[in-house]
Order: sequence, then structure tokens, then C-alpha cells
Amino acid sequence: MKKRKQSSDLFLNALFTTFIVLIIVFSTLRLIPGDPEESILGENASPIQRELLREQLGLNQPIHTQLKQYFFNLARFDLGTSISKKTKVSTLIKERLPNTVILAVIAILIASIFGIPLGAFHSWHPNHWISKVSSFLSILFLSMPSFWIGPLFVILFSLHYPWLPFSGFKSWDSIVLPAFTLGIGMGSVIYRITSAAIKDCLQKDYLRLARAKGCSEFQILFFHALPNAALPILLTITLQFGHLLAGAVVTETIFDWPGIGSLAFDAISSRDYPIVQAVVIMITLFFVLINWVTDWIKNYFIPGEI
Amino acid sequence: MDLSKAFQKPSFHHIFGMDPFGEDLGIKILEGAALSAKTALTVTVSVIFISLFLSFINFYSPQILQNFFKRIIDGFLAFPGLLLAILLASLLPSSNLSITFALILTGWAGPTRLFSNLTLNISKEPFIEAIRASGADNKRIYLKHIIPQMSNQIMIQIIYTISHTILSEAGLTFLGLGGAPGSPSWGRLIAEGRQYLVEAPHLSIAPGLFLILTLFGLFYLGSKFQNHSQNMVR
Repeated sequence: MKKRKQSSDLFLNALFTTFIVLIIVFSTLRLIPGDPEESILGENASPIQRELLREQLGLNQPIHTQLKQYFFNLARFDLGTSISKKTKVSTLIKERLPNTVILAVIAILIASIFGIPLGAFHSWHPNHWISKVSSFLSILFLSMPSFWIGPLFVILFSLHYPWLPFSGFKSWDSIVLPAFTLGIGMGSVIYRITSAAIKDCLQKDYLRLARAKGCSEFQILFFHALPNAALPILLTITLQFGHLLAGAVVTETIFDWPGIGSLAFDAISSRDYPIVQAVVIMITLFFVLINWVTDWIKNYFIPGEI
Repeated sequence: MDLSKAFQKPSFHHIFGMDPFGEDLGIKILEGAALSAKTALTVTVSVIFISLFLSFINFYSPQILQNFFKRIIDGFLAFPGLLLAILLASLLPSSNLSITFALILTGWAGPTRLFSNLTLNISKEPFIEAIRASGADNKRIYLKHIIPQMSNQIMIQIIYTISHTILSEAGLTFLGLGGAPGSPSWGRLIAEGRQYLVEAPHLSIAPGLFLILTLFGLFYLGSKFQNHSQNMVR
């Protein structure tokens, strides 16, 4: 029996990773070739504008002061002020974050509703035509980038037959297309992981005992195989959640969904660096948090396997 | 460039139709394919070389340095998806070189971690000890003995990095981050086509189909290779 890692080990891991992530984000602006002000303002900026920007971002101070200010601001949740919109970044994020969360949660639900049953079915009856079709479809969907599926859905479902809205967040209808766009890729991953995990369980000895005991196939699947396969499935879902957030940038742009992904995209187009930095930090730190929770769960149930 | 022919649907003469500037879309897609191939190869070769070199250094470093190194790699790997690449590409001047650079910086950490762990595992095998006893120096051990043992994994990483780079490059150019408006990159073509989705859907669909086929083929190649390498071990 391998030794369990201490929870404090995992916490320190997460802490160190957070620290390095923040340093990396801090360095990107300052270490790129060329002037940061030029990247943000463009080549035709007047010296006065550059000076103002330098003051605003704190770039005219020595590095250690900048570092201190950076961490100090982050600790107070002060994410800076938007260059183009002149409002505090944290306000902008606060009003848009719930939309992204809603979208992500529904995407995960869709992915799980389609992925888990089909995956279970695939592992149970691999030669059924449904299994073969869904297996092929899953690889197909994994190769389809979200920025292609999105416009495709819009063409299919909104333009010629106005069934579903394709822009903004006006009614609860409008969540369908973006959620499916995000959920399809994730659904394919969940499908493959579910079928692999359940197939793995089907080989185990406790299943042979269950059959020898006389359990029906249904009982075996639901009460013996699925609970044991649930752990890898759950871990995969939580990890995919992070990739989902990153992919939300593209999807929210396509569907004009008012979340932090489209906020980041608008900020990138208008070179509004404080917003981009803030969104990247938020999403990444959230991902670090999810990884920490995943590691903790893994450590609790499968000791020594990290 | 013939603006009178702009936005034509696919026809016999121009298999994928015409783009908004009156040029044949098929030719632009092929140019985009060349661009994607160039970017993918540059990034993959750089990433693989960097990761093999860094795992060599990692292996022959003292423990403290190894721990420090592991932390940095974990830090880089903590960025989900394309976020770090988006951050970098938005700051660098808009060109294909920036995208290549951003993708290298995003992608070096994964293979490095994999190869470092593999190197450490392989080095515990008895045959490495025997070779060291017969007088080989570190460089020779790594190049002639450890790397060949890892060759299957290296190949898998190469295929994975190529497909991931093609996808990421399309994603970044879709967001507008790399390349002048004339750039034939597939992501840009899809983005430009989005504005004309009603009148000219072929502008978005055609490059997308190419992208899907390429990724699908690479993915298939990778999974078949993985099966093959697993069977070989047994």
C-alpha cells in the first residue's frame, strides 16, 4: 500500500504553482521584445500617450516596486483599470462572470448526459451499430474546433430555419447553441473516458464474483461497474472544465455571449491589456484550484498515485 | 484579383468558390495549408529539441535544481488551453512568427515533463548502469541509449504536437491575433467568412472542412501509432 501524500503537500504544490503562474503573467508584459507601450498603443502613439500609459501601468518604476505593487493589488482583488472603458476591471468581470459560469455548467451537463450513457453502452455492447457510430462521431467531434462547429450550428439552426437565437443572452433559448458548441468536444472526451473506465472495470475480479452470484446484467452495470468507474470519469470532467473555460473565449465570441471570454476577446482586439491580464489570471488560478481539488480527491481514493 | 467574381458559390472552375476579394478560395486554402504546415513543423521541431535538451539537463542536475525546474514546468502547465498563447500573441506584433513563438512557449512544458520522467525511469534500468560501468560519459548515455528507449513516446509527442499546433494556430488566427489581413491561414479564412454566413457559407465551411480532415487524419495516425507501439512492447 503506497503512502498517502499529505494534504499539506498538495496545498504547497498548489501554492507554488499559483506563484509561478503569477510571475509568468507578470513577466509577459515586461519581457517581450520591444516596448510594452508600443504593443498596447500601436506604433503611432505620441510620447505623451506613452508616458501616461507607463504611469498607469506602473512601468516607470523599478522592477521590485512593480512586483510588490502587482502582488499587493492581486491580494486586494484590485485588477486594475480598463484602458479603453475607464472602469475598474473587477466591475466588468463581476457583471460577466455569472454568464460564463452558467454556460460552462450547462455545457458540462450536456456533455455528461450524452457522453456517459453512450460510453457505458459502448463498453457493454461494442459491436452494436450505435457503439460504432458514436465511436466514429466522437473522434470526428474531437477534430472539429469550436470556432467551426459554432458557425455550422448557426447556419443549420438559426439562419434558414429560425429555431434558435444565435446571439446574446436575451432568453433562455439562446443558451442552447453555445452550450452545445462547447459541450460536443467535451462530450466526446467524456464518452471515451467512460467507455475506457467501464471496460477496465469489466475485467476486474469482483465483476466475475457478481456474475457468479447471479446478478442481472443491469445490476452489474449500475451497482458494481459504474460506481468504480465513476472516479476517473469525475476527475476527467473536473480537468476538462478548465479547458472548457479556455475554449469559452472563442465560443463566446462567436455567439456574442456576454461572458468573460468575449470580454477577453474584445480586450484583445482593442489592446486593453489590464483586462486580458485579469481574465487570464482568473481563469488560470481557477484551473489551479480545480487541479488541487482533483489531486486531493485522487489522493483520498487512490493513495500514492499522483 | 477580380472583384466582379467575388463571393461566387463553388462551381466547376473554382471548386470552393471565390473569396470576398475575388480570388479563388481553393488556392487560398492551399496557401493556408502551407502556412499551417510551416508553423506546425517549426513549433514541433523546436519543442521536441528543447524538451529533449532540457530533460538531459534535468537528469544530470542536483536534486534542488530538479525540484525548482519541476515547479517551473508545473507553472507553465497550469495555463489551460490557449490562454498563455493568447496572452503572448496579443502583446507581440501581429505576425506568424509571433504565433510560432507563443506556441513554442506554451508547448515546451508538456513534452519536457514527459521526457524528464521517462528519462528518470529509464535510467534506473540495469543496462544503463552497465553502460556507465563500461565508461560511457553522460552525453553518450543520453543520446545513444536513453533516447532510443524513448523513441516511441517521442514519436507520439511529435504527432500530437503537430496536430495541436495546427489547431491552436487556427484558433489564434481566428481570434485575429496573427497575421496581416491578407494571411491565408485557415483560422483567418473562417473568421472572415463569419461575416457572410448567410450569403456565402462556403467561405467558412471550406477551410473548416480542410482543418477537420487534417486533424482527423493526424489524430487517427496518432492513435494507430499508439496501438502499434503498445503491441510492440508486449
